[in-house]
Amino acid sequence: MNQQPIQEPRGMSRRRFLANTGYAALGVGAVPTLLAACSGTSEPEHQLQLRTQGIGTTVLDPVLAQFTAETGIPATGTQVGFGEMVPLWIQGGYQNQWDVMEAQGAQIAPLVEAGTLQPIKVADITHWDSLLEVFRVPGAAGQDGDGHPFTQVYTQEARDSGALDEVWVVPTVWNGDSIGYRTDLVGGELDSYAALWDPQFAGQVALFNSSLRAPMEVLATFVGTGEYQTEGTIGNPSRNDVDFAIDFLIERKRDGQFRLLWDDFGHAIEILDTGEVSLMNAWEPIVREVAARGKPAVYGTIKEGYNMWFHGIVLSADSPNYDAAVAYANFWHEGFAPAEVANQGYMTPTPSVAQAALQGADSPDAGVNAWDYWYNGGGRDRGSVDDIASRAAWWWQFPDESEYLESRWQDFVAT
Amino acid sequence: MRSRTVRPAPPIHFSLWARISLAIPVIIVLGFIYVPILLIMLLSFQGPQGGATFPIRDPGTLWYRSLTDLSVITDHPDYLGQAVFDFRASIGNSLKLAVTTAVVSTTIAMAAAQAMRSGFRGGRLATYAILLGIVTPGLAVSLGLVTVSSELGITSGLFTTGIVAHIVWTMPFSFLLFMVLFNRFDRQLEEAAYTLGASRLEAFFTVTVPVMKPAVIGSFLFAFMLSFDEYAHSIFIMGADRTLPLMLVSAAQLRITPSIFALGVLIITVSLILLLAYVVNVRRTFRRQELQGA
Amino acid sequence: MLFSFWTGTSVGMHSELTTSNYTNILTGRTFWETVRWTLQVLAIVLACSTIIGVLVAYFAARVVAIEWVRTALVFLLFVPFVVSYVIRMITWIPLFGRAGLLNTALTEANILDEPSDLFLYTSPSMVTALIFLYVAFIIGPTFFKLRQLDEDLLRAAQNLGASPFKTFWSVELPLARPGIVVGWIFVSVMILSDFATERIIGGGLSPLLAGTVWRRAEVLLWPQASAQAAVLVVITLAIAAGLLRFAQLERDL
Repeated sequence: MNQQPIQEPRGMSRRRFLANTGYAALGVGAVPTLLAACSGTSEPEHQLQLRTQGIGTTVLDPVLAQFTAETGIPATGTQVGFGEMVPLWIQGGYQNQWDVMEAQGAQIAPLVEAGTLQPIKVADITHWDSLLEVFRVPGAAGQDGDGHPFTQVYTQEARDSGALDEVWVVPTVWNGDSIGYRTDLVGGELDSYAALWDPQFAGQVALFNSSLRAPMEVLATFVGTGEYQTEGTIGNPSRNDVDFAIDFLIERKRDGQFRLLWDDFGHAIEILDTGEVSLMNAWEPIVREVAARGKPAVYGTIKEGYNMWFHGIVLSADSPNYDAAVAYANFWHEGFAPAEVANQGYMTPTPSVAQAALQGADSPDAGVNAWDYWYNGGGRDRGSVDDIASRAAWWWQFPDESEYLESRWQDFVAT
Repeated sequence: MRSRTVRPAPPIHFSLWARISLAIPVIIVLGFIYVPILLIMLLSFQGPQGGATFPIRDPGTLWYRSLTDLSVITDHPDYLGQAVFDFRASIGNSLKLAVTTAVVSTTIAMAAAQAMRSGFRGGRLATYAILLGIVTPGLAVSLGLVTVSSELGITSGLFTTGIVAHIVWTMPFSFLLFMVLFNRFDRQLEEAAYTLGASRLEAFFTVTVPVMKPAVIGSFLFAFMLSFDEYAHSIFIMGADRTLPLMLVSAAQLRITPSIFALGVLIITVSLILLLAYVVNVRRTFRRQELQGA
Repeated sequence: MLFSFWTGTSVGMHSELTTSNYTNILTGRTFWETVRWTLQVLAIVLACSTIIGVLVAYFAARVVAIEWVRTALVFLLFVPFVVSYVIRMITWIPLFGRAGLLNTALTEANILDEPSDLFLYTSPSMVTALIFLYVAFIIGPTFFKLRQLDEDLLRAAQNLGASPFKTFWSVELPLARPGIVVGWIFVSVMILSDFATERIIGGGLSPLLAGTVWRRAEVLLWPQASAQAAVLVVITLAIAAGLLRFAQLERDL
């Protein structure tokens, strides 16, 4: 793989153009050698490499080591906090530091808008046709009112022309978020986001500290009961929709409904485990972990549907390592990485490709393999992969009114 | 500056009850500081399954050993498959950055303090400009720095934006330390050296430098520790280089493993030894000076 | 050099202001409400940590008679600041949570019937955390000022028949004031820069100013974050400059 000539991506940057002409003019002269010495490589020719950035649940040392072992491409990963990902990429100089970022769906729009990405050719993705339809087929079941995630994956041109030949992001992991609760503390089963606002649980509720979560759950609740009709969609609300949701949240906050806002995975596990709160809008692995610690914690199957999200590989506009990025994306679709992250509650978009490897991996239930548990309806309160993929209330995205939403969310937080 | 050493006022004799009641706030403050640290120490000896819970299961030094070799956890029969973290690269980065920051900020601070002491127009203003580094919130420095550097096309990293932010943060502390020491040190000594025919440079090296040794070492230690532990002046600006505090935060976001506590215990222990050695050394130096002065 | 960073913040802000459809963050009611709340928290923390800090400094400087005990005490008060803030904060849940040590102790002792929610994720718990996180910065300078007071001065006061309290109130406290003021500067700066405690201990529902800057930056609203950061810097500088009128850092430390 690393011996192949570098495929020139579309829209080669000015800087790279200049660099390449420089190399051509000077041949194997002093400057490239010097440059190579500075960058730590011994060969004057370009050595394919992979430099990736993302949160610590996807940028994993064992995955990168296996990738290098299989492809021969050296790989380095930078693990950063979720909130730091995009600022570091855009402001901190993605041009020189990283080839790919393992971005979340909602981060793609700002990255594209800032002109920091180059498209990836669908033809280079080996298992593209095995990808779940929700990601690659227009109008497939499980997409939300704005056509996400399909619309987030392909470039505008690829969609407009109908060619569907180029993508901004190659999906690598996905799941649906709902609520997590302790049956011993809430005294029964819950099946609706309405529980989060139920006065009977006043002071026992934690909300995720993001404007892209609770307001949408409010909308989903009242759209579900027929009491409210959104002007936009749940995932991409209008200003009025935002006002409706935030005003409701502020009112509930004044009544003491919410104990705290949670920020991260480790913290969320602790507050549910210790009974600091009885229920919360949660990520699946949080709840699985608390259950594994022996607490009666349940991940809610919600009638309004899941808040779906995915992470995927995006490629820096200035990266000279197109082939490495493609190889990394392909690697994520095969067995090793999906098995590695299965018990984090991360599912692969190519289950048929990864099935054999997943059947050989453990799950949180002894005696049940990772495939049966996570993909085949074998988890105690969990449907099959197709069930989950078809039950989206909305996909995590960057709303048109994000600035307004954020400032109203601040009103809620600070009131 | 000071004509004679101040004799510190003696302790006052209080009744037993007065002493006990005056000790209560001290105990509360020490409690708030040390109960968490004790907890950290206990939790660092947690068994392979980890968790910040009591009682401790299967205690041992496993997580300490995991700091240099993760396989002691991942190959352990009781390992549950949870996330584990390799802090080695980030510790290396933090050490490199902290040492460089400490050297540079000590050098600049010494020069600045020497300049301030000789007094010049605008000296007071310059002092305030230096102290701005302490007063400006770290997050604001980071935000401003990354915005400016990205506009200038500078790639964020340990030794580009990172070191600048850290020096801005640590240098004022070093500067204050030098000012404090200069104020305590007798100007007449230097003047005596001049009278005895020493050149300015000779006087600086034979009189000023030995007297300043405690400030130099102190400034180095202080700047090192401040930089090693700094989070706010590190967000957004380290690029692909992760320092220990950044790594600790992103690790703790995912899972609080006992290796985090083990690291904490090691940091406390090392700093304690360094600080103790410094305090003992400084006291000895001062005592010697006092004896010589008398 | 230093000024360039401060102006850097505003330069960066302006260049982005022109390219962004900038909402009037600085005229928003929520923002100024947060500013007011931050200043209120700061005032409470300063008041409480001054009382505690001066008492502790006095104890160390005057009550402790043995030299090495005094050194050890001061040493113990400062050592924890080399321990990462992150690491220290992690232990607050097992200490103060519903299932934490404090609640367990209080319920076992029958002081409480059931675990209290008050000790974590409330404004009082946040204020308490801030006090004890930063009180050492008041203890330190105050202690050094008290140690610098001259023996003869205190002897004189004692010989004139003043009680320890009277001596403290009319001689020691006024002379230690610059130390306290230096402590105030440090504590004010620390609290105005602290963007984590309000989340980790306060539960995130009564945010302080630095925390809102951090939130904006996290969600990519950099122009707003920069604008708020600029206000934060101005407030911090104003407070520090105001306090500096009563003390000189390099002289009174």
